[in-house]
Amino acid sequence: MQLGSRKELAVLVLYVIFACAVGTTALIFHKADTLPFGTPRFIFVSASGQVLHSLFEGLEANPLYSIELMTAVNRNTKNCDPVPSVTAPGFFSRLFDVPTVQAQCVAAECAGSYWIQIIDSCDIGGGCGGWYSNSDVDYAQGDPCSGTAPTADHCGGTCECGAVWVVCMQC
Amino acid sequence: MRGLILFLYSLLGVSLLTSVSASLAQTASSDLLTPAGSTTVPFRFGSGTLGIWSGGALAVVQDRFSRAPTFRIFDRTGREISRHLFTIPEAAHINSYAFAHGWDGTLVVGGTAFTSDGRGTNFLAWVSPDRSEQTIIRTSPFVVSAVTVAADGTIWVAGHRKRISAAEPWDYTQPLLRRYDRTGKLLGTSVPWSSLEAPAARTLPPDNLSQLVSSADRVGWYSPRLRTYLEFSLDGTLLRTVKGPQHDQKDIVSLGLCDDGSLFLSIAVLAGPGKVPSWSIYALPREHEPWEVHPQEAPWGAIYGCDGSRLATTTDLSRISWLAVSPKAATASARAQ
Repeated sequence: MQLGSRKELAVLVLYVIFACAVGTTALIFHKADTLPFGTPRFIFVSASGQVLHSLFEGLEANPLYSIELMTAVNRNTKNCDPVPSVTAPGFFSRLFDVPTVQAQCVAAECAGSYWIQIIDSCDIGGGCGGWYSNSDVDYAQGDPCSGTAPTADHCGGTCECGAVWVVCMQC
Repeated sequence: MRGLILFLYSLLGVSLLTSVSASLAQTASSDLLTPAGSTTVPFRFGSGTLGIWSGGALAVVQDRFSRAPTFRIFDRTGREISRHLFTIPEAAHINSYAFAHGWDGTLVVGGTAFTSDGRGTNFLAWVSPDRSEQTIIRTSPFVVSAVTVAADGTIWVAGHRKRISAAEPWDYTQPLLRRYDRTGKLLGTSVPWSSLEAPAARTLPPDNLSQLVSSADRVGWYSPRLRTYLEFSLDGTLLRTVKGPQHDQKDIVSLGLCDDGSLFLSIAVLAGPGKVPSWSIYALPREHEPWEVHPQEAPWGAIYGCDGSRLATTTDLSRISWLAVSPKAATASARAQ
C-alpha cells in the first residue's frame, strides 16, 4: 500500500514536471509567433494610401527636425524666471506650506516660429492641480509664423504651477 | 416734452426688460447638473499628462512628449484596464497632441514623430483593441490637432495643411475635418476653412486647440479661436452650428457631448494678479438655445467628457467628479426630437 502510494506520488511529480515543461514551451512558441516581447504588428500608410515599410521611408533629414534643437529651443525661449512661493491657494498647501513655483512674467512681444499651443497639467498636491495653456516648439507641427508669448496677467497659471503661454502670429 | 419723457421711460423699460430676459437666459437652472459621486484616480497628473473621458473610459496619456508615450485606460471605478507603451519603429521622439479611445477599445493618436538623424513627420495612428496591431498614417503636410473615434468606429480628425514658408498664404479652400477608417483609408473631408471665416493675413488656423467629441449618434467639433461648435451625423452631414459662450484665449475650455444630444462646455478662468479664478459649465440641450450657465463652486475645473448621461469632470485632477444630467435636459432634448 505504501509502495503504491510512493509510486503514485512519483508519477504525479513527473506528470507535473512534464506538464510545466510543455506549458512553458507552448507559451514561448505562442509568444514568438504572435507577439514577441509585446511588440505590435505595424502597418505604415502614406497620405495617399500607399503602403510604406517605415513611417520615415523616403524622408530626408531636415536640420530643423533635430530633437536636440527642439529641446533646446523649448528650454531657452520660455524664460520666465521661476521663484519659490509659499502662497499656494489650496487649503492643504497653505496648511503644510507646500513650496510652489510661480513664474515672474512680464508682457512680451510675440516671438519665435513653429510654436504650437498645448494644454498641460500640473499637480502640486493638496487638491491643487489643473490644466493651463502652454506652448512647445515643433517644426513639423507648427507654422513658420507661429510665435509665442507669456500672458503677464496670467502668470501663475493654475495653482501657480507655471506661466500661461499663448501662441500668436508674428508675420 | 411729456412725449419725450414718455419715450425715454419706454426706452428705459425696454432696456430693463431686455437685460432681465438676457440674464434669465444665462441663469442656471440649479437642477440640471447634480453631484453624483466621485472616483479617485490612482496616479498624479504631472506635466506631460493629459486625460479625457472617451469611449466609456478615462483615457490618460503620460510622457506625451517622449520616446514612448504611455496610454492608460481606467474604468468608471478607477481600475486600470489597459496600459500601452506607444512606440514607432525608428522614432526617437514622439509628440502626442491628440488621442481618443473608442468604444471597442481602440486607441487613436495624432502627433509628430522624429528619428535621431533628423527625419520627421506628422502622423495619425490606430491601435487595435488588443494592442497587437498598429496602423500609422503619414499625414504630412496635414497637421493633426484633434481626434475622436465615432460610434461607428470611424476616425475623425481636425487639422490643417501646414505652410512651408511664412510667405505662403493660407489656403482657405482646404477642408479642416477628415474621416478615416482603421486601415488608413480617407473616407471623406468636410468644413472648408472659408466656410467659417473670411481670409486674414495674420491668423491661427481654427483647429488650434480645437476638440472633437463623439456620442452615440453624433460627432461634435469645437474651435475655441472661432468660438464655434459644429455637430455632425455619423455619415458626415452637418447638423448644427452653434456660437459658443464668450471666453478668452487663455481660458481652459473643455467639452462633453452626451448621448441624449446635450452639449456641455466648461470654461475655467485661471488665477493671476488681479484675476479671480472661476469655473463655469455651459449647457446646451439638443437644439435648444441659448446656453445655460452653471457657475461652479470650485475655483478650477474641467470636463473630461460625457459618460452616457453623466458628466465626468474634475476640479483637481486627483479624482473624477460625476455630475448627473437631470431629466430636464433629457426632456428638452426629447421634445426637440
